[in-house]
Amino acid sequence: MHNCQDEPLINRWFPVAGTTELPKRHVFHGQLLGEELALWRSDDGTVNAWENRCPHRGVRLSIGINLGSELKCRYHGMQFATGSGQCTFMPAHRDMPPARALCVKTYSCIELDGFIWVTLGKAAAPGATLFSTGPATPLRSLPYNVSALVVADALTRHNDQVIARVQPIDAFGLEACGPHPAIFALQPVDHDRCILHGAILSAVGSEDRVAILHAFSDSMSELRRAVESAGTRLLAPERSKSESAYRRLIDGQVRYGMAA
Amino acid sequence: MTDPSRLDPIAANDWQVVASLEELPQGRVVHSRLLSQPICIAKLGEDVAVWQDDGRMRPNQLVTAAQIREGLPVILRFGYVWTSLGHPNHDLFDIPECAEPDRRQVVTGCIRVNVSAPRAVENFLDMGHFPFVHTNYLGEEPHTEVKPYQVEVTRSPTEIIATNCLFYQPKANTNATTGFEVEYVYRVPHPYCAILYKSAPEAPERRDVIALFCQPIEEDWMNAHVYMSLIDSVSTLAGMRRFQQTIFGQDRPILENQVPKRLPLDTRSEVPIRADAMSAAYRRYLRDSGLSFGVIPVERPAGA
Repeated sequence: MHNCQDEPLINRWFPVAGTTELPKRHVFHGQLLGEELALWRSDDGTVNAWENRCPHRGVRLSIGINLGSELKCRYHGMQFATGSGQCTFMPAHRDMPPARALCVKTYSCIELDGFIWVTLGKAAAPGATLFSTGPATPLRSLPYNVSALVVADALTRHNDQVIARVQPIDAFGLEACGPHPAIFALQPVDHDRCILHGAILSAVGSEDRVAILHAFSDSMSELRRAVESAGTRLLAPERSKSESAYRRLIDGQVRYGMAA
Repeated sequence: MTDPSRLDPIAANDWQVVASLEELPQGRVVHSRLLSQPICIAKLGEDVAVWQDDGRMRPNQLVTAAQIREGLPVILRFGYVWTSLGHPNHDLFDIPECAEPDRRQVVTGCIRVNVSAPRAVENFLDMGHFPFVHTNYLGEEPHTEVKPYQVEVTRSPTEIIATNCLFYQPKANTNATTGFEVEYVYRVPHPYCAILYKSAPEAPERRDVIALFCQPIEEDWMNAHVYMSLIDSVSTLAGMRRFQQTIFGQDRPILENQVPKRLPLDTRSEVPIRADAMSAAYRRYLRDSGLSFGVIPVERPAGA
């Protein structure tokens, strides 16, 4: 049921939540490349990234109940085990072993550098992320109602006193070399929406901390006002008036989030 | 407006519910939708007129029979207005029990739900969710077992009947004060309608009737009209309505969180358990009917 047919993207690892968004016994609703996710942490710390759909009757598992080592569906109380997603208990038939087919579709996921990372494909987990360069201060993640490509392209042209001289690392990762060097990673929610995750590449001292985080938040919000006033998809280079390093970088590489 | 030639012929040539009589104002235009088509409804004395909206009438405007050019066929039954966008070659189903003079007929109201009509019907036929969705009313843990029951499909007319459906209920109706095992009979006489019969507390040899009439608005939107015909000399009308609205209000967030919103008819898309015998029969019945509005039909393999 992938909305995304782009093999390299399906096999890429993306951040889908900050580590703090999965507190004990919570179920977090996420989305990646059009695919809805139910994200939850079991009591032993394991993070699960599941298709947001009970295999029995299709109810979203993000409205389910985190029991610590199972997720319980709201509709019929069926319980699905952390890790495998296999149904372990069907209340309608208390003594009957659940069929093997009663298993939630699971996605590979890891928790690294303050974020939960998910791939919809089979690619091996990375040993390091864009944020692995040293101590980092995570920024507030911000949703944008435009494609990830539009935000990335706009970031490379965004210059203010906080976020400046932004260079693309690849289609969904960028580094800013302004007064506070930072890394940004984009989560393509679907063709027309994304979430911008970021971190300042240093441990920010406590006296400046709030002011600097506010300044980043304001700058990212200003970027949002600017990009959301235009179209939601990125125009192909031949149709766009402006030329940018970012467009040249992704030309012919990424179609997800490009205007048709 | 959807091109009428693209209407689902099975749904269009059947009778569909569009309103309850008691909710219609006298002599005024009410706008509604049926199978993605805009329609107008007006109560004119003892009659009701339904016609396809051509944009000439404003909502709530006064109207007389002379102003209506081409009316759609209408049946008034169980206190509801039924119409058809096509040419039904059969009568609307009946619920003979409802004609008994000592019954109280309750129109509990109309609730718009962002789901297909077949998803709502399937939920109505489901006992396994009682302890989890209708906790302390129609079920409670650990009384979660769904015992085997019988399902049969009758021919001419084609209907699904499920009998011997037993379930422990802590508060089975408005007046119940203790829990007991309730016996249900279910009946599906129409792709978008289902009826349940449960023993009437005041007259154990007779049965209360609760029916769900779904008005298919869009493929993924429906109006739920819940109708009851009860043997109950005690409850107030408001109390009976409130009980049923509470129950349906509990189902609604579940229905609106079902993905996909249309009911998938491919047996591989969702995994049934033994308790789903009725749901499996219902999906088979929809598949055999050829209906497409509100369902995801089974994809034929390429080249077949």
